[in-house]
Amino acid sequence: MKSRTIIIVFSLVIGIFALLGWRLFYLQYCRADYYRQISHKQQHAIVTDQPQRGIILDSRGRILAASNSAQTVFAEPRRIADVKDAAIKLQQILNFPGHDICRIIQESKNPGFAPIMNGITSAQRSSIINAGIRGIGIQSNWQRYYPMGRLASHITGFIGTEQSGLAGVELKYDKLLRGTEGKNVVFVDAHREPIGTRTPNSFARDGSGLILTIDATIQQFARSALLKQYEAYRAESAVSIVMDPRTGAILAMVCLPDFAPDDFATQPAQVLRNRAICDPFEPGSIFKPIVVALALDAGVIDYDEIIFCENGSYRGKGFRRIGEFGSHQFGDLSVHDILVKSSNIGMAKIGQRMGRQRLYEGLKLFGLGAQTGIDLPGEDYGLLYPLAKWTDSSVTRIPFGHEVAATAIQIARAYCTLANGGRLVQPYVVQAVVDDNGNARQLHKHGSLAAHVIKPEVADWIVRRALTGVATEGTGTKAASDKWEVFGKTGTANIAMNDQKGYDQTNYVASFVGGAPAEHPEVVILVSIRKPDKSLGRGYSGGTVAAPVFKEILEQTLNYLNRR
Amino acid sequence: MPKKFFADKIYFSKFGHFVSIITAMIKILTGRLVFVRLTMLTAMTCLIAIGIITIYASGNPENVSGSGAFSASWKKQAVFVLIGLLAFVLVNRTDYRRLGPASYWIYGGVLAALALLLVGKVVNLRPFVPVINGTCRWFRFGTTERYVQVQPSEFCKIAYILALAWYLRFRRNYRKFSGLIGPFVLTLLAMVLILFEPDLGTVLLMMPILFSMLFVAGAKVKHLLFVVLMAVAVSPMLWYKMNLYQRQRISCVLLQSAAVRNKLKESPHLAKILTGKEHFSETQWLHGRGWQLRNSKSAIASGRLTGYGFGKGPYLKYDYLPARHNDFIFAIIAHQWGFWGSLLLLFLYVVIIGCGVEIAYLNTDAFARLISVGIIAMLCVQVLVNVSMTLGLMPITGLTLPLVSYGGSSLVVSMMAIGLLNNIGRRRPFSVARKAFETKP
Repeated sequence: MKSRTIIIVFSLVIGIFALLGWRLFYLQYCRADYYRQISHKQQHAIVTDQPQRGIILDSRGRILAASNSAQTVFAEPRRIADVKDAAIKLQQILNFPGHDICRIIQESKNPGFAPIMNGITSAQRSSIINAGIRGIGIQSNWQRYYPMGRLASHITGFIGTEQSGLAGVELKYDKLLRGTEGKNVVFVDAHREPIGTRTPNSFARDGSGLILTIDATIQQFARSALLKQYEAYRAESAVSIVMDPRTGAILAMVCLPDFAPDDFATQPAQVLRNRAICDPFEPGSIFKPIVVALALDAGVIDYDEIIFCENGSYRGKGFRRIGEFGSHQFGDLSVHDILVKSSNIGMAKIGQRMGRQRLYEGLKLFGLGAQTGIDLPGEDYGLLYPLAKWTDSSVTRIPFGHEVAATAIQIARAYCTLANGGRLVQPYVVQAVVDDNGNARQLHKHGSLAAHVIKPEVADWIVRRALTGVATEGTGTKAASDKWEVFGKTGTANIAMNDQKGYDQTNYVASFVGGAPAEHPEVVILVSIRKPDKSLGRGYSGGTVAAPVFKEILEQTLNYLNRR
Repeated sequence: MPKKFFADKIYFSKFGHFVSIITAMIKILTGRLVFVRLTMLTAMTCLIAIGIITIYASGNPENVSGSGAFSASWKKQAVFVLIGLLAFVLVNRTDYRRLGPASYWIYGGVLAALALLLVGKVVNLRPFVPVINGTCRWFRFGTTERYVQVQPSEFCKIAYILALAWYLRFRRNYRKFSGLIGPFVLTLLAMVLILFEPDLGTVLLMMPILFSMLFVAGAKVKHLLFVVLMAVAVSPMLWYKMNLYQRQRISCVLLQSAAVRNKLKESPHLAKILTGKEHFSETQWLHGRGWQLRNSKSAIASGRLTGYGFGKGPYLKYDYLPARHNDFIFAIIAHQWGFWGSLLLLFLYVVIIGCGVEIAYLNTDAFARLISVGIIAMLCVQVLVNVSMTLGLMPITGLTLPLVSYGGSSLVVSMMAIGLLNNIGRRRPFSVARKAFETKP
């Protein structure tokens, strides 16, 4: 062997060692931070502590929604050595088919977590712990219960699988109800088994509870009365709202058809929708008192003025013929009688006297064409065309509730304004928040919107003089009560066709809005039934279909409230 | 000489026994090249010491969750060191030249032992030949609770080097291509037997030993290159002949890179070739085949320049690094003592290799030269492969880090190998110019 060769070979060996040295330097100096990060991530696990979701109570403290703890069996697929063995052991304890367990474990996309069964009993829990199957664990989580079931489904709403609100108060107040989750950083071994607990970085804070303005009893009155009529008339849908006119608090809000909040996933979307705030409709005659109040307030008509109603057929320049509902032929009518007998032509003339500008601004003041700001999600604006889009006929049509669309809550609020002496109110369903320490906080200061939309004397005249007549001598006699002096207005509105050309001549929205007692209104109630089946031959007008429901809710509610 | 030693009077007293061993050991150190051999032995001692304390740290019962499987490993390793010392002394008791005629017999004996292991694979010879992870690599002596395991393939390496050196020492026809057939047959005998155990790492280790010894014996470089090229050409066919787990281990080296992993997710065809499955899941890989490699690299890199310090660092604990006391002990050393510590370790190996080269160089005895070159190649390749696999430069194989890794057979064989070097070094013939076996005719 020549010494030259040996030098070459030996330096080759040294060179290879130097390469290893370079690789070491690269890993331990250049990439050290990256691998330290990996190592830290591998050796620590974040254990989250789920907070309890806040409770939802009605105004008398009855539970509408609450979270209880439930136990879930889960598998950690990457830790399971023998899936079949684990499945057989679990099958005996859980009474759950073994091949389904195998499938869940094998098809899990997450190697660290595959839920197997929710809501096990404490006996099952202890036998699983005793069995000590590797890779099978028990996790406690929160389950939402709605003890009142369908009763207030549209108000409470429901939550999804991730404990997040998806509708109703659950969605609107999700941040408060949810709470904050606690995070613990734990040192774990290679099998992700915790070694020791570090001090919690943050504790879980339970969600705040909510106290609603809804009274479950009144809600029950409203629902049962409405449901009876809804089924009797095979209606498409029905809405009822009970409000306190002085505060704007919603005492009850019912939409039919409704659903069970536990089972929302199987329901079609239109059932889940809160129709009282999401669905605008052409109000029809129930719109009239609002316009009359505006006209009186503006001074374009007098309380005892007589208006000629054209004997049932009114033609003029720029608008098509206007007729009366039920082909009545009215001659001279006072303002009072126009409301009581519900004359379209009288209303058209009042509208013409007011003119576009004043009518539009007045309706705006009543909150039409804008959200009421109720604390429920998905509220609609309704439809009040901007002034530029008004035609000559708009001035004659809008006063009796055509060419305009409003949600039930907008109408109910407008009637509250009339019943409240002309002061606007803010509708709301949550009156107070109770945090996790038990401190209650009022959300609404009453009278914050105490601006007069119309003069108090005009509002009082409408409620006490004009609208009481509807129940005693006019279209809404079926709403009259022996015990209380009722005020209100019927409405039988056409439903506009989807193509926006003309009206559906066979279907109507039958409504009644009003309240009692007229001297000092305690409640305002709206009942609106969409598409009652005309072919049943039992009538379809607001006076026939909606007024009896109104009466039933009113009498039960006032009896209940005055018993306090 | 041995007869006289054992017949000595002092042999019969306990104290005398002790003294006689010490004298024998000191005697071993006398002879030629004292400085070189002392340096080599110092490096060896340092490596063994590093091994024991690292095994101690990685098996610290406080740090082991579960069974505490290797809490006593360091004590066992200490016992192995004593056995190794005995082997070291025994190897030096006789002149290496007397091993020559016996070398074929020794090699034959080891081959017979290997064949017996393979019989154990077919016929049930338990507990004498236990099947561990589907392999038959060990003989087991003792009861089921307390036993000693011996790995013949480790001893085969030394026997093979001796036999090959004895075969190659006088021949002159290695300059012809046909002359390579003899050495290759000699190698294949052991290779095939070990391949069926299976122990791929040891099999692959024999090739560099053969080539370096042939090179030193005077084979033509172009012939050797031709064989290497042939092997490279055949290797794609071998890919499909390999077991799935072997293929997966090799593909691990490529899969380290996130870019390759992303490509595999897109192309099922490529995934099928590399991992055997069409659907490639990154998380499964990271928790399965890639686990050991990733954690080994993390352990090394997180040690940074100076390391966590002795007995400290997260990868010493909680089963994060499987086989951290034997095959992956380098990762733990780098984890504890960082870049500088691992450089020192590599330097100690370079010292041993350098001393070996010095012993081989200028040695006029061809047999001695071939043995030393074989041993140097063996140690060198083992170190390179083992360190490279912990760094992710080579596929993971079962090759141990000589002198440092836990394991009796490996340690005893490494110490015997260095003992042989010592034996050769102290008897290097006096000569002004060496006789070459390749003088021109």
